[in-house]
Amino acid sequence: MTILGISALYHDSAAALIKDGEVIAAAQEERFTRKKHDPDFPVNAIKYCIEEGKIGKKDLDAVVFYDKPIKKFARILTTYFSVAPKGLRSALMAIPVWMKVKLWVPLIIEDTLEKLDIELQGEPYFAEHHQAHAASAFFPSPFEKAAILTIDGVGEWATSTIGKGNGNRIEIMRELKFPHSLGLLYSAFTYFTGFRVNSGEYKLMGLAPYGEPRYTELIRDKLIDLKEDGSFRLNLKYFGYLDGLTMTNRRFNKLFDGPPRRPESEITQREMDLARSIQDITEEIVLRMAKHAARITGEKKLCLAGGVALNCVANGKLHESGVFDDIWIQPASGDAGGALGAAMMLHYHIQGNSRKPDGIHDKMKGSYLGPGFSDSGLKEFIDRSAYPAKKITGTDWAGTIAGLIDKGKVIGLFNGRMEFGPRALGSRSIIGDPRSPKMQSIMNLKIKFRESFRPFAPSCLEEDVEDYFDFKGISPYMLLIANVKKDRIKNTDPNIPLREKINQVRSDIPAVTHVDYTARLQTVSNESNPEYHSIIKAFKELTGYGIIINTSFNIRGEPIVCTPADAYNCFMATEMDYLVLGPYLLDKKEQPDRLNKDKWKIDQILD
Amino acid sequence: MLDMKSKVKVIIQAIILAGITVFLFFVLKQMVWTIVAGTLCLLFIVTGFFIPKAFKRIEAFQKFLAKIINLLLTWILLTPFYYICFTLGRLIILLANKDPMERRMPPEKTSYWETYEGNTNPDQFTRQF
Repeated sequence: MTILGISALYHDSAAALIKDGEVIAAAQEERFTRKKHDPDFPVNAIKYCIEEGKIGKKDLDAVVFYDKPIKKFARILTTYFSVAPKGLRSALMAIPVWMKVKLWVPLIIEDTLEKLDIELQGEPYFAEHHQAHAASAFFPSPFEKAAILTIDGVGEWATSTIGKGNGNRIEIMRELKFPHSLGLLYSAFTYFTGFRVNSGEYKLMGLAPYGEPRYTELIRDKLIDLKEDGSFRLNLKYFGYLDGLTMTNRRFNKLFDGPPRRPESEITQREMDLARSIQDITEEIVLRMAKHAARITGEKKLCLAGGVALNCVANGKLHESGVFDDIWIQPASGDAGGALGAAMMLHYHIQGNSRKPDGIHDKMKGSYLGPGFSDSGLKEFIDRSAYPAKKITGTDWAGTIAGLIDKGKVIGLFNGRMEFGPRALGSRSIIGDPRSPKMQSIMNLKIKFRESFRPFAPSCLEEDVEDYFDFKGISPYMLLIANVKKDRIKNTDPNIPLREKINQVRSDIPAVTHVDYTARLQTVSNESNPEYHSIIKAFKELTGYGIIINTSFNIRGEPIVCTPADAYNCFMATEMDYLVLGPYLLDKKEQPDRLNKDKWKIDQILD
Repeated sequence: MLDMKSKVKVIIQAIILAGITVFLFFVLKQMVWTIVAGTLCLLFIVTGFFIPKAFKRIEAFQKFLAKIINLLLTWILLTPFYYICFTLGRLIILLANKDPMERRMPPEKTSYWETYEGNTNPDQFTRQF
């Protein structure tokens, strides 16, 4: 049985293909169109999935869409009914798009498949948004049964759900409904602190450790009525998303000492304190919800999904709390993962196919589910443009790369299949030396062209993780934070300005140690990505450190690279020193036109 | 040079404009508008076949104009509809003392979790609602 799952028309459109329950391919549309968080119907991602799965004209058995468009539209109309005569501007923007595009999903699906010469057997299916999230969390997990918690902005009506998975069945038990949403609350603060909604939430999370929680009580008193079981209602007098075009309104400004920060203007202590305050509240809500989920389901394991599940700080605290014995988080927790969840929902829950988890391994294949390029394909790309490159094979490959990292070089690593989800996990990554005190600033300003406060994540050998972090278990998808071990920490002065704080040497791995002495951790095993593992292992043999910096292969505002051409452009547009294209090593100094900055300029859409 | 597809587009637009010109001249007997339509028809043919750059500019302007008209029409039609339909709806909701957004925060409530209303029966997956 071959099933195509699609998520589209809101943000992070994606497609996923499963065959007899096995995930064959999954990718976000943005990687192909080079438009970050692309909401358009994922024609290119579908095409890729069809090609990867070698799907013939009559081979596709079913297509599932990740939400119910009419139910969602009804929610939007209900919102206008409850705010009119306010809300006109929002309605003028939203209603025409719904009438023209979003209400015609079956026709768009039919049209797209026809263009790809695929004959769909029967009508498309429609899962509910949070069912798709829940399915994406539970079905690929290693657990036979588990509690399921989904938290995001909004789907049809639900904004958070608690459920239970058992074998091939999912039961959703409780829900919180729009407009009372943790995702939207966090997005409101994202907007207010001058970052882009549905994009800059992770920046707010990164900014939080620089601040003090001085607004926490105010948020609790004025914005939210939070109950012991993690359920809550928002005081909608302070928010603009029901009847306006912004997330917050004038009352909100008054409450938090002035208007929202203008994007790209200087970040002040107020923004840092706001970030810290909302982060603290978010962690508290997630923890309370998880405790309630444990109580009502009686389960010892938890599966998490939804956009809020990308908040690795909250996830880390939840992991540390011990509420559950084990947690599994879908690596593509945002709406993109809904494509996979919708397909799995049909395969297991609706069609009743058996599911046999082994309790250890998940079904995500390390999340390496996107396009990959053969050595011959890479050679063809290099030869076509006559780029100077050196082929390295065998054990030399990892050793050479590790040696360059040791010399302080920054390397673009393009190897194997592209990752599904927002994190680069060693296939489309920029890697460097975590011991270097200057590496965070160099990589932020000269390579990623992004805000200097933003931390970098470490990729650590799975077997060595306890040498560096107070952490037990695995974190293969970079979705948990952990504290750097105390014996590695260096004492620093907490009372210095932000810019100086960034450059403080906080540990013996300063480039991956955030100001609060935590790191967003990726553990790498020989099983999930042997080649990436071999690089870190070779680095350990050279330096004694089984850990490197791993950041996504892109610049600010650009999606992660997908093809060798994307990788080469990004390599040339930045101050990266080397590019690894599979077995080929390209040295920046040898590349033609390296000084022609205009030729390699990437249009940056600030996020 | 324009490609074949664009040339076909030029010819179709020119034929339509020629038709309008003939209609204005023979049926409506509007000399000024006939000249305007005829000039546009000629302009399309000349730029389309001989000055493609200029034709592309004209095309871009047409698209811009269409977008503006589309926007204006949307506003003109939707604004009264919104105020009449949604405001009236709001009034009815208020009179019925209902609040679909559940803005109230009753102090006696100990939880806001609701029992999940959706269902996971197979036939439910064939529906968009």
